[in-house]
Amino acid sequence: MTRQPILSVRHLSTCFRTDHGVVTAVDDVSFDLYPGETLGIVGESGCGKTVTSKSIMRLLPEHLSFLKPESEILFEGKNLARVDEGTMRDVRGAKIAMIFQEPMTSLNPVFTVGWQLDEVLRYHTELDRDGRRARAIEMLRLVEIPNADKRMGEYPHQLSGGMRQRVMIAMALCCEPDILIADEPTTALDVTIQAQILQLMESLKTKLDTAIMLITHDLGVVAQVCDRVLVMYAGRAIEEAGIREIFKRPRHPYTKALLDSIPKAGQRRRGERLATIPGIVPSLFELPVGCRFQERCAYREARCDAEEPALVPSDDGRAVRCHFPLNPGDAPQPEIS
Amino acid sequence: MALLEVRDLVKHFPVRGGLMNRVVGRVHAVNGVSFSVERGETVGIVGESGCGKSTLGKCVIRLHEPTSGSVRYDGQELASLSHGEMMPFRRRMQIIFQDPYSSLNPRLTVRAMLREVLAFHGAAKGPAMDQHIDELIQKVGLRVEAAEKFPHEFSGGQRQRIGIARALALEPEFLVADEPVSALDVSIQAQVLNLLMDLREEFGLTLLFVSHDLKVIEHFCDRVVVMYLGYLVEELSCEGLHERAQHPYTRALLGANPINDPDERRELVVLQGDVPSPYDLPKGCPFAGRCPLVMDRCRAEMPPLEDGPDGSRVACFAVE
Repeated sequence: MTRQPILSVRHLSTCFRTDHGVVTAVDDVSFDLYPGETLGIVGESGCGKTVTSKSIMRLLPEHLSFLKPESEILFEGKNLARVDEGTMRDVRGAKIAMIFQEPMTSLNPVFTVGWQLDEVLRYHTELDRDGRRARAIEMLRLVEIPNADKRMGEYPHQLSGGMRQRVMIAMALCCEPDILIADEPTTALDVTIQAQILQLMESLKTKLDTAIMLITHDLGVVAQVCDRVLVMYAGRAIEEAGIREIFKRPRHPYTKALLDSIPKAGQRRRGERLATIPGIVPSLFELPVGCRFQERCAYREARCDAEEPALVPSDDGRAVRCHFPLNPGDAPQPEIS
Repeated sequence: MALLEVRDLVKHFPVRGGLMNRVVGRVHAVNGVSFSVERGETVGIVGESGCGKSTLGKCVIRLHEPTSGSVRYDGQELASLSHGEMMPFRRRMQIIFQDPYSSLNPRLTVRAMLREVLAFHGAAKGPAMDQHIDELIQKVGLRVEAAEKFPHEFSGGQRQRIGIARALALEPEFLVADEPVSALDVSIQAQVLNLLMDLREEFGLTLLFVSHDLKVIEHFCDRVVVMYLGYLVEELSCEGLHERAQHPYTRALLGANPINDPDERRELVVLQGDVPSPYDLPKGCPFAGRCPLVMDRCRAEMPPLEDGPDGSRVACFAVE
C-alpha cells in the first residue's frame, strides 16, 4: 500500500536579503509528510529548521525574504509557494496550524483567551456566537485546562507557561487542521511540564488524526514522539530516516556526532569526556565549497572539500547527504534522481 | 571540614507595590536550605524554573544578601563580613553565568575585560598580566588573537569560554556554575562541559553546578541537591541516581526526561498541575499539590529532611 503524502515540499529554498547580501537559509530541502505521522525536523540553531516551517506557512516577511522559483510546497493540489495571500489565509489555522516556541509572546496580551479562540473560529467556521463559545470551551477541555469556562475570561498573563502552551495548542487545533507544525513547543518549558505537553500532543494526534511536523533541537523529545526524522545542517537536509534507524544506525557523521554528544541518562561515568563536535557551524555567508560539515567531520577526505555530496535516497526509504556514509552494512543505492 | 557549609539559608525578595511603594508581599525564593560541599567535590543543584536554585547559588557567594541563615566558607562566616573583608573571598569564589550574551560587557575587548578583573584584585601587573591573559585564553580553548576581539565577534559557545576565562582569571578554588550550558546547542554543550571537566581537574576546583538538566548533572557531578519551591527535598549521590532516588519529585524529574532511544520509548511520568507560586507558599509539603503519593498529612505539615544511607537525605512522609 502506498500512502499519499498530505504535504510535499520540493526544492524549498528560502533566501533573505541582508545588509551583507543575499543569504540562503534553507537550501533545496525536500520532504513528504504523511497523514497521522509525526515528522521530526532536527538541527542546531541556525540550521534552517524554523525557517522551513515558516516558509511553509508563508509567515516570513516578504520584503526581507523570498522563495527561489523552483520551490514547491504541494498541499491539496495547490503549490503554497505560489498562491496569493487570500488563499493562504484560508489554509493557515484551518488546514495547517502552527504552535510556536514562546507561549509568552505568541498570545496577544490585551485580549482574553476566549476572545482569541473565538477569533479563529469566527474567521474559519460558520458557527454562531454560542456555537463558537461552546466549541472554544470544548477545545480548552480537550487540552486539559481545568475550569475551562472560567479560563475563557482570563488574559494570557494570568496563565502559567504550560497553560499558555495548552491554549496555543487549543487555538491551533480548534478547526481540526490536517497538519500541525510545532516549532520547539516545549523548549521554553520545564521538564515536568514538557512531559505533559508531549503526552497531550500524542493523544490529540491519535484523536484527531493530525499529521505533526515537530521542529526541535532536543533528540530526547524526538526519540519519544517522532516516527520519522529529517536532520538539517547549515540550511541543508543531510539525513532522513525512520526513528529507529536514525538512532540505531545513523549514516551521516553529523547525526552520529550529535547523538554521541548527549550525556546518556542512567549510564553515569563521572569525569568521562563527552564526545564532541569540534568547531562551530559555518556562517551561511562563507559556506565552504564542498560538504558543509567538512570542517567538523571526523571522516573527512579530499573529496569532501572538493564537491558537495548530493542527498542520495536509498531503497529503504532513507536518504543521506554524504560521500562516505557510515554503517556500510546497509550502504545506500546509487543515485536515483 | 567542608569547604562550604550552608545552614538554614533563607532568601526572600520583597514585592513592592501600592501607595508609597510599600512592601506588599514576599517571594520565598529559598526557604531554609542546608548543605555542604567538600573540597574538590562537585555538587549539582537541580530543579525547575523558580525553585530558587540560581538564587541559592548567588547567595552562596553573596551576589545576593541572604535574608537569614549562615554561609561558612573555609570556616569563615561570610554573611557578617563587610565589603572589604569579603574581597579576599571574592578572589577565591567565582561564578560562571548562564547567559553568555548578557554577562559580558559589549564595549570591552576580552583583554580589557580580563585586565580589569586582574587589576581590581591586584593579581598581576604589566607584561606578567598580559602573559597571564594569553595563557588563560589558550586554556579555555581560544586562540590568543581572541583577546583583541569584542564579545559580539564570538559565538555563544566561545562567549561561554570567555566567561569561564573571566571566572578563572584569579585562580579561584571554588566556582558556582549557574546553568553554564543551558543556552548552548548540544554539540557546543558537550565542548563546554568537557572544558569544565578538564579545568576542574587542572585547577582542583570545587564546584557548585546549578542546572535544570538532570542528565548533565548526573554526568558532571558527585552529588545532587534537588530543590522544589525553595526547599531542599532530596540530596543524594549521583552514583546510581536512577535506582536510589526516592523523593517522588526526583523520580518525576527522572521519569519526565525523554530517553534518547526510540526502543525505550515509554510512558513519561506526567505530573498534574503546575509549580505553585513562591509568592504564597502552600502549607505543608510544597510538592503535595502534584504528588502522586500525597497523603492527608502532607498537606498539613512539612516533612522533615531525614538522613538516609550513604549521606543521602530526603524530605517525604511517603518514603520509608
